[in-house]
Amino acid sequence: MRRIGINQKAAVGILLLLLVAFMALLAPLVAPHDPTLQNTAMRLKPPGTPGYLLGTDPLGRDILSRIIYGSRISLIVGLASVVVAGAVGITLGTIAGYIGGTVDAVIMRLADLQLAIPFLVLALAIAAVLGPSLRNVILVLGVTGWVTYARVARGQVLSVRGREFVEAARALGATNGRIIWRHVLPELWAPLIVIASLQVGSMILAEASLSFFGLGVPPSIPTWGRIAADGRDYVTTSWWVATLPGIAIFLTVLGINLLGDWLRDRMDPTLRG
Amino acid sequence: MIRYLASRLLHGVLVVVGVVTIVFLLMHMAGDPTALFLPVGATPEDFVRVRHQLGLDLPLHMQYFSFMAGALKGDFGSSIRYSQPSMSLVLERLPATLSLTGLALGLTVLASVPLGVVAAVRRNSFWDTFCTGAALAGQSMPSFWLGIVLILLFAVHWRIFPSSGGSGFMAVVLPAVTLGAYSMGLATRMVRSAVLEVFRKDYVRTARAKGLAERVVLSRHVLRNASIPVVTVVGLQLAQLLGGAIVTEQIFGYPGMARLAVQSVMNRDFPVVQAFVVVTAVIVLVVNLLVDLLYAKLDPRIIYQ
Repeated sequence: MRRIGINQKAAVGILLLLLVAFMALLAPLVAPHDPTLQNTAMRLKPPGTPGYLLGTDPLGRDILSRIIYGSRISLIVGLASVVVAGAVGITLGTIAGYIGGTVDAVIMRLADLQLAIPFLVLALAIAAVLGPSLRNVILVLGVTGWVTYARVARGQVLSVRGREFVEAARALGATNGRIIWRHVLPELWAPLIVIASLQVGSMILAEASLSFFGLGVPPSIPTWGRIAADGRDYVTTSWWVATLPGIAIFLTVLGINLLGDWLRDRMDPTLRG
Repeated sequence: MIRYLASRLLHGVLVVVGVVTIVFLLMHMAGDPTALFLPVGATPEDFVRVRHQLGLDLPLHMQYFSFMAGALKGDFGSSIRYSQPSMSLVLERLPATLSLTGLALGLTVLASVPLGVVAAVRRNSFWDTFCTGAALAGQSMPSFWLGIVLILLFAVHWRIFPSSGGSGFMAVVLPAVTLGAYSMGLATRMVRSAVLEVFRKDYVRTARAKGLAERVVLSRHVLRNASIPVVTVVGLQLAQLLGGAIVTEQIFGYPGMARLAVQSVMNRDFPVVQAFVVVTAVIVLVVNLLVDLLYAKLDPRIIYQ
């Protein structure tokens, strides 16, 4: 491990994420029950009940199975929304930096606008308008998370634009598209991958909050935020329903943050703490 | 300086106009709200009449101009649910939210500065691992979960704090800790790396070389210079805290404007949501301006023109 420079923290992060990825990929094989199967005879059983390791929810559904299936949604939303945010942000930022002038001004004012509205406020408002669905959650989180990418991409493009190798490419008759694709974007990857890796965690947290309010994924699909919401009215009598999914979220986001820190130290030494 | 302030204020007004526009478009996307104003069993004639009263039969650009004209006067229409001006509903609850976010921000600074400094001074020791570990944990917890756990421990089990509702200082403590956890984590790590950065500077070596006590080096040279990036992050966190208040206020049944906004989203009471988004944006813009002005105080090299 030392040879590729993985430290202890990164190893813990990778281990946690492998565990979550394993749960998500093999959910039908490792989940002991159908996550949506209701059984009123078994409602609100505490953890440790035979056959129900983590207990059951108010409808008698197995919490362990629901958490295992919930990992799928968290990972899909976390990764897909970062891809959307990155795609929107990098495109707009690159255009702003490369073209400049009015286009640049308009895009950057749009970014200012976005930053004036707190992320969760905007996500909540848009989610309320669009209605709950997996696709909408990804779109909402993606569209509200683009600004950082745009700023970094723009800054990088501005600093690369005047450099000799870009001048040389232009002198050789390369088109704008080719210059951006071949000479500008490769310079961007290191900082952007670091931002993206850390953002996956925030997206997972945001999805959980939206689902907790019933504004995320439809109630029929088990997600970590949704499972916790189901237990809200029973917190004092059946603590496990609302708290156990939170631990799953915590460990996943912790894994992502540990890995993101390591990536940042490796790829961007100037940011090292 | 005055020119700088004027241009910032003008820019701020433009951003607010943009926010109002976004809010208008969102409401338009949400569909025709006429039915929400009508009782069950209303006739089609009632529908046409109310639609006309609300101005929804006008072309979109006319609706936009009248909305904008109202918005500039602070009028976002009446709440569908409460039949009161939506802006005054939001403003009534603003002080509660401000004291919650203010306390969360205060806790952020109080916790992150000592933790971050200790982590940096005792780099790679047990204390460093402890402080950075706690910071990372704070950044990785879903706030609704932390809120529930704190309620279970401190309100249900030990009965130290009220679980929800209530008034006075005790009622704000748990929500503020919940709300501030993420920012505390972020700021602690920021303080740590800012202090480590300043430690490497020549003037710190000079200060040590001339025999100053480490305590004096830290307070006179390191902390002051490390404060600039920290102020940036803490300032930017206010926007995040206002967003996070949405979750915290709901969990604790805290009577602030963010909880009102969540309930209004659920009830499709969009005038209230609009007023909330605009009020939030104005606060964020004002705080960003204050942060920029604070830079000039902290770092005399910064002069705004």
